[in-house]
Amino acid sequence: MKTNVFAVIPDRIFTSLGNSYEYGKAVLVDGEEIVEVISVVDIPESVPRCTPD
Amino acid sequence: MFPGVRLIDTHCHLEDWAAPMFISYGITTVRDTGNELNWILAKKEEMERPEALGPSILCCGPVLDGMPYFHPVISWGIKKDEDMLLAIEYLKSRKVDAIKLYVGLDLKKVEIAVEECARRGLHLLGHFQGNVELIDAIRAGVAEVEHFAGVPSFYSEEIIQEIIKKGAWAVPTQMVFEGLNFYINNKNEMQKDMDYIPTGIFKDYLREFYDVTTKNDPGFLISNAFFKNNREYIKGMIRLGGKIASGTDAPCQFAFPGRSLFYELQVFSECGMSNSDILKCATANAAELLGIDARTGTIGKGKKADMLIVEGDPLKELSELRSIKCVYKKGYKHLSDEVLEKANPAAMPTNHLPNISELATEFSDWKEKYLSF
Repeated sequence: MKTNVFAVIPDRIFTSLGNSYEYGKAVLVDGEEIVEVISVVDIPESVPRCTPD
Repeated sequence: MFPGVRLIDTHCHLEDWAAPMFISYGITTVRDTGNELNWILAKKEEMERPEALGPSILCCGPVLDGMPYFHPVISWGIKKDEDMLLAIEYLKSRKVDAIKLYVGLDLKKVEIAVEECARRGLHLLGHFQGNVELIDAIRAGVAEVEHFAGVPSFYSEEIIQEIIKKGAWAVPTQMVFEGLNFYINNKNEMQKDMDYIPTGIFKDYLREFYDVTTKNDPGFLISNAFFKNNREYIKGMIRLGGKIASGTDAPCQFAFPGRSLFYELQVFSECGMSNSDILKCATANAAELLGIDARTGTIGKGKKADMLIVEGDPLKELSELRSIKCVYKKGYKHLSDEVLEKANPAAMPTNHLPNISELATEFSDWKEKYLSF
């Protein structure tokens, strides 16, 4: 994992189909790209959390 | 409540002042469907940076029109068949993302463009009206039609069936017809946007508004006739399962950059589309239409970190899309009000296009100059 990774944690996110939700997930972003969509509980401690407010 | 989604406007004509308004509304990608070539390519490059105060851009460059061309400066008037080939070759070399055909072309040139774009792997869209009927353009192989222009003044299911049979897309851009009505009905809500629109544009919009308040203005009446007929075509596409994507024609007429996309989606809703399908129109479907779905349009591993975070649940209540908390463009966090304050679009020029007299727009007049790049 690169150094500028952060996690965006919405209450829910759209699924890969873009028309329904998944809950308890975070979007792991590295620079300009999404590197993973993971469970919130799996976010490594070293990764900064960016809450969208 | 903060769902993540990303929005795309597949039909606009960008101006400097419009760019920050798009991103402030969470629209992280737009496709410019007709502009001065060098300007839009430079703007595209400028907006690539995540922190740039505007959306990522795809573009067509100029529209390829017949003679006489309809829009000075953004049109290349194509008189000879071979000029269509040269224009497409040149635009491909400048790395435009699609080719757009316009109202003055005849069917033969449309067919030439279809063949040449297929050969060169370029997506082809068109706004047809007058010389070429929409159904003939679809039969010729045009992959996408704009505004439902070129349909008869009544609903014909045969046209919808032909669009679907060919696997073509429709981008209705109802806002260019209905924007004024939305303004009349949502004046208070739209006032905030008016504060950010340059004075010249504001005056143009208002002049149009005052001209039509009597409801006897021909432009208003024509616009109303268009939008009522076009709504029948949108309903037909929805009913028969045709492919629709979100586009607005902003900032033309009362299609306010950014906000007008939400109103466009509201029209889809009023025409019978489910919220789920509406969101797809503005995200995954729009990305598929633009050929960028491998990188954008949905949230997943390996995709660009473009996200709109809103308060509420747009699957249940579509208007919640407007309750914006923040926007991520390529991983960079933008806050809507901050974007508008930093960019101050109201102070920007109203029009970037060069003086018409400085630029001949009949392609045969100046192709030597351009092709000697």
